[in-house]
Amino acid sequence: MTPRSAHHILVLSALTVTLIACKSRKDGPDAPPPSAPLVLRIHAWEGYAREYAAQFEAVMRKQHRVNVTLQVTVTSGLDSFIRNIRDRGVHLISPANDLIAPLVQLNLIREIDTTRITRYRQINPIILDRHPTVIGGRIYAVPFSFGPYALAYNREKVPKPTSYKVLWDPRYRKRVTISGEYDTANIYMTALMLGSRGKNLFDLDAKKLKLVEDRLADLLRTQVVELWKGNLNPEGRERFDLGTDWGIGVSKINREHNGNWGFVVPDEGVTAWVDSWAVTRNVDSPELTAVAYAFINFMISPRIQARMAGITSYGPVNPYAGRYLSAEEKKRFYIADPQFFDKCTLWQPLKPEVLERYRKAWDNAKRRGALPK
Amino acid sequence: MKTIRLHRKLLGVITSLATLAALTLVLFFLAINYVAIRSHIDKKNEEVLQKLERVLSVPLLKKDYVMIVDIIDEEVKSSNLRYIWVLDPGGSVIACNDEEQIRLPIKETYLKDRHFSRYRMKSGYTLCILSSYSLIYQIQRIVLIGGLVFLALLVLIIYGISRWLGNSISAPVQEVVDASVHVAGGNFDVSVNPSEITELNTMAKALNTMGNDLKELTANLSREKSLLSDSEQRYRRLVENFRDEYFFYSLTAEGKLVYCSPSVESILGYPPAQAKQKFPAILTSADCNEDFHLHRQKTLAGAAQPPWEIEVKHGLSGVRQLELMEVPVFGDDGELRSVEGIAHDITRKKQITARLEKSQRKFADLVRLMPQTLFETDQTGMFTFINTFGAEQLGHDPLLLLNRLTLTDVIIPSCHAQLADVLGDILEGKDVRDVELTAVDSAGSQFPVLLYASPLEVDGKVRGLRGIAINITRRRRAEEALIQAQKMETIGNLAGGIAHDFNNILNGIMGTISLLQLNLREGSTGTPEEIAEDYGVIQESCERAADIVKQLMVLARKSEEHSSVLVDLNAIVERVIKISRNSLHKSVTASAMLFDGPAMTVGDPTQFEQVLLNLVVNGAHAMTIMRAEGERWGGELSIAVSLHEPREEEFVLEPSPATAWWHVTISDTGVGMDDQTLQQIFDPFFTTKDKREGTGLGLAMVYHIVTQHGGSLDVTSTPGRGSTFTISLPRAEGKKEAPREHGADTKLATGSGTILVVDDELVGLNLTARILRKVGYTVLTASSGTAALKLFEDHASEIRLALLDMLMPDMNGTELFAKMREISPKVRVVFTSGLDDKAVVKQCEDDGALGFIQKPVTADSLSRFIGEAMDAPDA
Repeated sequence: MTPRSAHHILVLSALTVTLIACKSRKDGPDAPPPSAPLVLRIHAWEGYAREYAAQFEAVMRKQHRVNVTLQVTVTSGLDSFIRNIRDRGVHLISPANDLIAPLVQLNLIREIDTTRITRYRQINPIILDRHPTVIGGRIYAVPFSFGPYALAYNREKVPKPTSYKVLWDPRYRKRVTISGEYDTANIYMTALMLGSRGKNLFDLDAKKLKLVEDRLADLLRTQVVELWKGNLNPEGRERFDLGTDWGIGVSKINREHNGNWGFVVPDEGVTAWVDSWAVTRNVDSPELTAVAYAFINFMISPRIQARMAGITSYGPVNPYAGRYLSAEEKKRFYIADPQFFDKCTLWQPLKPEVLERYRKAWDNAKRRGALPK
Repeated sequence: MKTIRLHRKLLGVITSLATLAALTLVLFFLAINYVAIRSHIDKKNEEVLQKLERVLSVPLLKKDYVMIVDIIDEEVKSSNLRYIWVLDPGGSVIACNDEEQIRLPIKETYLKDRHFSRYRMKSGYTLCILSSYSLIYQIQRIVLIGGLVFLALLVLIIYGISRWLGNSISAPVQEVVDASVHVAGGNFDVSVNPSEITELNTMAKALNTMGNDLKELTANLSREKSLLSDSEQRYRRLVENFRDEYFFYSLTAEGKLVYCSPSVESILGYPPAQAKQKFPAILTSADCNEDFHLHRQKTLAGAAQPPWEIEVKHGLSGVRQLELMEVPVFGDDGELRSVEGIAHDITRKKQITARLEKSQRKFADLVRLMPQTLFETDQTGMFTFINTFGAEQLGHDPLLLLNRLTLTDVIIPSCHAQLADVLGDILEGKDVRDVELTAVDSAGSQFPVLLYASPLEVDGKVRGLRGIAINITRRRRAEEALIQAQKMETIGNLAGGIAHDFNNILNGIMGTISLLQLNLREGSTGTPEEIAEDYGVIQESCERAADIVKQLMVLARKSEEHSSVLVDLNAIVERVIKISRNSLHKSVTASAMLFDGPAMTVGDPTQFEQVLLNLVVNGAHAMTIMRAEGERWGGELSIAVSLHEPREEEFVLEPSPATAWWHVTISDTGVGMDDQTLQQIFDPFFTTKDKREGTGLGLAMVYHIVTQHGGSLDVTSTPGRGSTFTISLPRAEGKKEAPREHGADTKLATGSGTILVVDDELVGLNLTARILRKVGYTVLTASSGTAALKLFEDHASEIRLALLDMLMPDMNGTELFAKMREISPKVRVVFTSGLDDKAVVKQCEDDGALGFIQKPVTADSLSRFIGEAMDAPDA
């Protein structure tokens, strides 16, 4: 082989590589422009939508050539859902399983066509077999996450608690925080402490409810320094040593403030909830329906489920999320614990008259507990 | 040339043989690998089956789906498997490494694949596995690529050898020719490599030497030129780009301004050309001009000048202050060539300095006038600063205090632990607020202070603390006075009832005495039973009066200390009801529902009475004076004592030792309170009554007392229907106080010996003397301290005991006692008084008195007390 022929071989090789590289970049600039924007209004709990909005919008733009804009607002419970569906025309909400029935009765949410949500099949059968979102044989929401209303405590100041009674312990006078808006959860928690179990929690008789009210009044008067909204308030962590939480508040303190807090299920057991995505009556066009279903499908995908668990500390419903979680995280987010649902009592819809009694008891306890200032 | 051709043929043969050998090796390895991997796949399938069999052997709802997925994922990742499916007994896919296939039938293409395997498990589930060719392909690819790389290397080696042969002769010649052309063209940067051929080598060396010499010569010339240019450029950039605060200027040897740098415009408002013409004319004053010319003349005379300041008018408005610095420049002949100067605009610097001085003066005045102690310390608490007021408060000269005394020197030792906490918080960067400490001045006087402090940080590190200490002595006194005023308010509210009680008592005494006097006048003394009954009425009335007075005195006592004794809440409630019934408006019906048995708790009975009286008076007011105009007064007030024992299902507060709680419930049917009022009733100074009726301290004190006793307070109220206050107090084990027996023991204690009785009140003096004589003693009496002292001097040896009144006009009991001891150190003394001043009594006992008896006295109580004192050993 002469030097000249060797030069020719090298030049030919370089040209070939360049041509192949050019071909592989063909799709980019020639693709058609995305469609006009569709607005999907979502009203959900903190940590459920805003964090994934940009990714979902990018997926819709890139894979489906659809321009979608998400408008996300944060909810505070049933009244907030009803108000936002009626007044703000939201399309998707994230009610807990006990709120599905009242929303169906008010004709505010639509039945779900699960055949259009391909990942619905991936949801853990342990959850689906409990039918948390089924009313009258019809599916009205797609389970998304689950978790308990349990005890949060500062490991550096409080030994690991085993009972809700620790909240009434005089050593923690004015160092306790509980939910200020999820009144029923506080009623269930106090009733568990007083010995009620199972379905009895959801229809306490007047005598037991009075006992619960008295104990809650004591708690608010002598122990509670702060009532939180949404979740345990990480900014107030210096003001309290223990309280109740969904898990997200504790997760934030540990992650963002380098805290050393624990989240524990006490011996009395806990009540648990399954949050889900429901499509509201405001979704009235085929395009919006398709986008709403695509969003739900996206939110129950394994990667997003794992990310949601990391942000909120709630349990993911898709067991394939475990692929993106460490062994410790699987344990912390309950998915490595098939007996989790045996240890807790899943929230159930309350009869309107029971709900009214519970709310009155909470209001009375707050009024009595507010003395002295 | 022959040698080169032979080499090329040999290379061709070697290349062909190597290629053949490489291809054979590749095929051989591919075959071996295929067989080994098939065997591995079968074994792996079996392992997967066993692992999943274990997990799937539990009932449906107990399965750990995450573990199933984990196993499948792990196996697919680590083995040569493409898909693993787990099918439930109904044939539905419940788990797969591709989650998109869940609940879908397995595709026909997979089912027909010859590497698809199906296994039925004992649990009824089915496991399907599709093995992958990927590993086989991967190994085959590696072998193939390895062979190709080997072939490519062979080609490259042959190419290299042929290049070497060609280059050893023709390249050196071409190199020398090229170098000559470069040098001829003016490019001296040549370097010809040495050659194996001698002539070529000599020529190369000569060319290299020539090129180097020429290159060096040219480089030296170019470098010098460049240095010169750089220097000029640098100076120009420096001068032209100076902005904001400086401008440069040049003067000729004759003093003419010939250059100003561009920044003169931003400083003086004139462009350089204009500034050159105007400069001497824009000086603001003659003084300035004179100074300017004086300095300028010295500079032009060749003398170096220190910087000086001038003031000039700005082109637009105002004036600028400049600092000038000039340097004379001399030629080689020593003659002045020019003057170079720099003008610095110091206007802003001057303004800032002036503002800073003003601010410092302001803060110094504030600190000096501040009527609180302001101070700073280092990390150890050593004072590094204190204002004049603070030094005066501590009684030190500021100069002697700074860097000599620490906080621990001016805070009393019992507060040092608290002080250590404060310093700890400060070192952690936290602010400290509302910390109450006791300070001590240089004379040893103590006073309470409220401390506020924050960390003193330097360079981001805590170097000490800065604080304010507020002397709260006056505030504390005002608080105590307010609390005392509230107590007196309660007594005031009860005054009507007390007067009523006293009138009833006096009525009993006076009526009985008048009856006795009537009997005496008529010469009849009555039967012994009638006489005993009359004396019984008088005695009982007197005891009732004594009880009321005692309660009032206890209630009005100033001391904040409370005792901790076993108290029966039933008895407290009875007493309160007794006082209240006659004190409250007649339209109010007061009733008590007591616990059936002793209701024992630990605490201060006086404070409990104060709590209940407060709540009772409030309840009564709610049913009377607080009713709307025209509304009928009256209602029911009830106090109930009950026991609350938490049931097993209820939570018992821990670690409180109490297993049960007393509930004292005070209910009224008065005007009640709305939610907003309820929120505020325990706030100090909050009142819904007319300001003449209440201070607003009552319920604040009630809350304070109850919580101090480990109890709690609950209130419910409905507007228009009344209020209920429930006090919870921990139950204590113990026996009920023994009821006082009135006149049960009619036998008096007798004795003998001489007793000196001293009292300025003659009725009391005579009564005491009569009782003591009656029971066998010899009594000497004196109605003043002076008279008593005289009597004692005369009878010191025979007096066995002296009973001294505490309060007398000429000298009090303790003074008399001291003087008596001067006469006879072993004198035995007991005290009596109408006042219950425990501090004074304790002081007397410490001084050596044998005891104290509270007035009023009865024959029984006095005889027993004196008998015990006579028998008591010396104090």
